[in-house]
Amino acid sequence: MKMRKDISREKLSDFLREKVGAFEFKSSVYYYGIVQSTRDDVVWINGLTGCHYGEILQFEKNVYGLALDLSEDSIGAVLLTAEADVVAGSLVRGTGKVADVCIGDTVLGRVIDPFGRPLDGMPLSAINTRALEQRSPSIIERAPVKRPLETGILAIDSMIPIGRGQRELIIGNRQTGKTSIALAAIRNQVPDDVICIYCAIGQKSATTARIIHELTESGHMENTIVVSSSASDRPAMQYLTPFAGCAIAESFMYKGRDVLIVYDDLSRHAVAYRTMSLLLERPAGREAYPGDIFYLHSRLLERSAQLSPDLGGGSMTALPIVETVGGDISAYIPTNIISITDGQIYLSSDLFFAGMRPAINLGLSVSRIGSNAQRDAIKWIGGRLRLALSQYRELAVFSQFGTKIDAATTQQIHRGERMQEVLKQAQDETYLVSEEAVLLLAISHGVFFGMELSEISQARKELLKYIRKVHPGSLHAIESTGDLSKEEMDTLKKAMDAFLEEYNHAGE
Amino acid sequence: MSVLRTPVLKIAPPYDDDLIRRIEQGFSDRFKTDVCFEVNEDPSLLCGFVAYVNGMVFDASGKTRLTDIKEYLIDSVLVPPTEKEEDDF
Repeated sequence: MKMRKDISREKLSDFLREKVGAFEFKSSVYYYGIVQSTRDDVVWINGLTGCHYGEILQFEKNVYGLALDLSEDSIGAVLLTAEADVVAGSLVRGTGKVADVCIGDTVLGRVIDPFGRPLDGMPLSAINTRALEQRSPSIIERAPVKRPLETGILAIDSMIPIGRGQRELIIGNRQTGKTSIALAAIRNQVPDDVICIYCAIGQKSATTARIIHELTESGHMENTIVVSSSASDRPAMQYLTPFAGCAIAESFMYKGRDVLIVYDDLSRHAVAYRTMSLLLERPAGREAYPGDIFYLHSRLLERSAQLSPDLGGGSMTALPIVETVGGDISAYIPTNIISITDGQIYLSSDLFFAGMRPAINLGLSVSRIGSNAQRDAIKWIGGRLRLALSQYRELAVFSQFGTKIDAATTQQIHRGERMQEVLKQAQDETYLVSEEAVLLLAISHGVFFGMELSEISQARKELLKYIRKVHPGSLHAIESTGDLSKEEMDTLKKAMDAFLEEYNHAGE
Repeated sequence: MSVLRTPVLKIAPPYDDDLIRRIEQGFSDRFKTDVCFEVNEDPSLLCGFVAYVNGMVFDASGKTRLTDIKEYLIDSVLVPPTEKEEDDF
């Protein structure tokens, strides 16, 4: 919208007259109730006949709440904003609306709260809205997950592949790089191809600001929507945040677009829901979570899907994040979400502190459906790499006991160390599919096996530079077809031999 | 679940007994029972009245009408102008 400075008084008055003339008075008749009591963000209301579950309630002085407990003689609601103005005896009005969020292209590149109110200081002129709670696509509306969603992280794309429409959990202790993986996946998406949504649930405002800054700096914010509720927001706002992100993602998915949504994180979401449930005096279950905590997350994650071609073929890929305490993945919330999702990427503190970045524990990580979507160029080599690395890690643990090891085992450990070194990746470094295929081929061809561990990081960069210079056509072919033909493979192997010779010669 | 046992009528001045009686008659016809309001004068309504009857609010005040128009105009301004509106300007 352009700012107009040349509007005459007559034209402005005509504009206002026309608008006011077109205004239709609607009857203002609504049910009301009276606040019975209020404490800790929960309000008990007398009256409000006909109130629906999840209805937005309007208190005096424009304070809003959410009806979550409907009993015979009262209604329990949680407040969405400051409670200071809600006192016993004040009036409450039912709005007749359930919580919704603004949708559409105008939301792209924006930072909003769960109700679609802008948090980035700019006006937002979205016309359409979508209710936060929706039914998930039915079986007949879905199609198999067959298209890959590359993260640009070699270890994930080769061994724990993610498909479009899949739900892949990222789980690990605090400070193990969970958000970094999700952000790398966002940064790796081509803007016209995949729309990204980042849901910051109960995060520190400074952390969210840093993430927005990173995405803006890397030029990916234009293609991303951030739905945020900070740690100081009411539990109800934190509870609604992932549903708002999901509703926005769905609106794009049903238009045939591919969407990647990150829920950061669902542990905090579960805690916010527990707080609300306990204050609403619902019975507490395991770890004091309410009985419907599983349903809370299953109904959210079940909305991710690959839609059938009849519905436009759009997809919503979900990367929920869960924080564990002391690496315990058998706690209540982690086990719930592991059972809901189609696989998990487990990040280990031990690997992180040993310098392995990303600190993915391959033994505990799995992708249940992603391999169907993996590109052929990577599938073939990636499967063997996973097996070789698993064997190496087993042997490495065994060798720590100082037992005498035969030559074959020593060689296997030696190779495993180098394979692991190649998989190390800096936080801001992502690979193209062709680069990943070249690195995997280089591992299987033994290019790095004769090198010192300290050399590998540099050698990896130089190899990619060399192949880009000598065989750009091969890289282009992999990018366009996703496959690696026998001829291309032989060509690349020869180029790798030539690189190795040149590299060793330069070293001397 | 009755909220207020006595129906309440908030009304902006000026008003007279005849007006109150006509309003009561209208609500009595609607609810098929005698409605007798506890009347509170409220100049902040600007004009019209707000009636609280049987758990429902009937808001016919000038204040609410103006608030509705204000929100409508804000929404109109926030929506990008149509091509015709651009041309008119």
